[in-house]
Amino acid sequence: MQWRAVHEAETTDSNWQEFRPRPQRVTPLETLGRLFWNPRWNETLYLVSLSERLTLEPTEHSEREIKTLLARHLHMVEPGIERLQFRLVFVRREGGDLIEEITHLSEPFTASGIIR
Amino acid sequence: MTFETAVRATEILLALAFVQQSLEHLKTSTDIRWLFLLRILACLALLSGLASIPALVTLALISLVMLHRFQGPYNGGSDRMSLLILWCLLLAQITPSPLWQIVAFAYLAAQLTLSYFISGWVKLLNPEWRSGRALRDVFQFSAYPVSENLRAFSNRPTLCWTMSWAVILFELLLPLSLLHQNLLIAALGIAALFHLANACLFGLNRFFWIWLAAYPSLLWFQWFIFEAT
Repeated sequence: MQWRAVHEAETTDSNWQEFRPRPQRVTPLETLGRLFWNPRWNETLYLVSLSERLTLEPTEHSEREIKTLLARHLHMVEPGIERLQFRLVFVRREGGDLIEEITHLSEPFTASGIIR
Repeated sequence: MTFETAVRATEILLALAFVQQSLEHLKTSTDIRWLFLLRILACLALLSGLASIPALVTLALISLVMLHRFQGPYNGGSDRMSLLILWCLLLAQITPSPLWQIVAFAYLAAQLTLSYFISGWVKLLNPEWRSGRALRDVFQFSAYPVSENLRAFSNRPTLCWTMSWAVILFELLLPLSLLHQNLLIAALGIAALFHLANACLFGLNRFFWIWLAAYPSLLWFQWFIFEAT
């Protein structure tokens, strides 16, 4: 999933960022700890499920959940962002090539209004 | 392993797995923290062994609320296995007939066996898995590897091919281990290592704990079918 902050004057389709990019490496000690405590990663896996649901069988619940998780996360790591947008990018193999396809593009939404 | 021992072992392992899941939910599912606090209390009651049936009924009702809240499983296969174990345990505890108690618990053992066999069969039918390509793709561009460094496994086709076939053959052959108790214990040990590897590589920690919780049912089932008679 990718997201971007939306500014009113902006007209270009740019500044998309990957949501929660994975770290370059995870140490053995961190790996051991994650066996017992891994809430952030499991929430990210839930987000993957929601993305698949939104692509295959769109529901208001899936879209609302993704918006809430995105807004809540950004509220913690990058407070001050008012309007947001997300898109789902699926990668698949066709023969020897990897094909990227945008399967969903949300409308811009106000972050502060949906954080529970 | 006797029926009573297996049921009790399953209750303890299930309660511990649910406590682990619930503590994580307290961090992330902030709108329904009360539900996961209640779930932890029910798990403590189940662990104590003093109120197994009320605890299992409470956990079963909570599982329905969770399915409604998340509109399906929160964590895919691990939640499905959680539900399977919970409902089989509940049925095995509340049904008055010893025969139906055995049927409910044997159903869990059968489903556990099928979870490996069908997974292996589906991979065997898929040419992408037979060539190792599917596993290389998982490492190369799927959402699952926990770090960018792990993506380098996609550049090692021989290793991915070997791992793919090791998994396929193990999953297909696991049902044969039911023929002897020692063989089954060894097979479940390897299966646990497989889930541990998935937890380390793909962050699937909940799968590791919940699949362990189902193993006593299979140990009892093997004893019941091949050794008790």
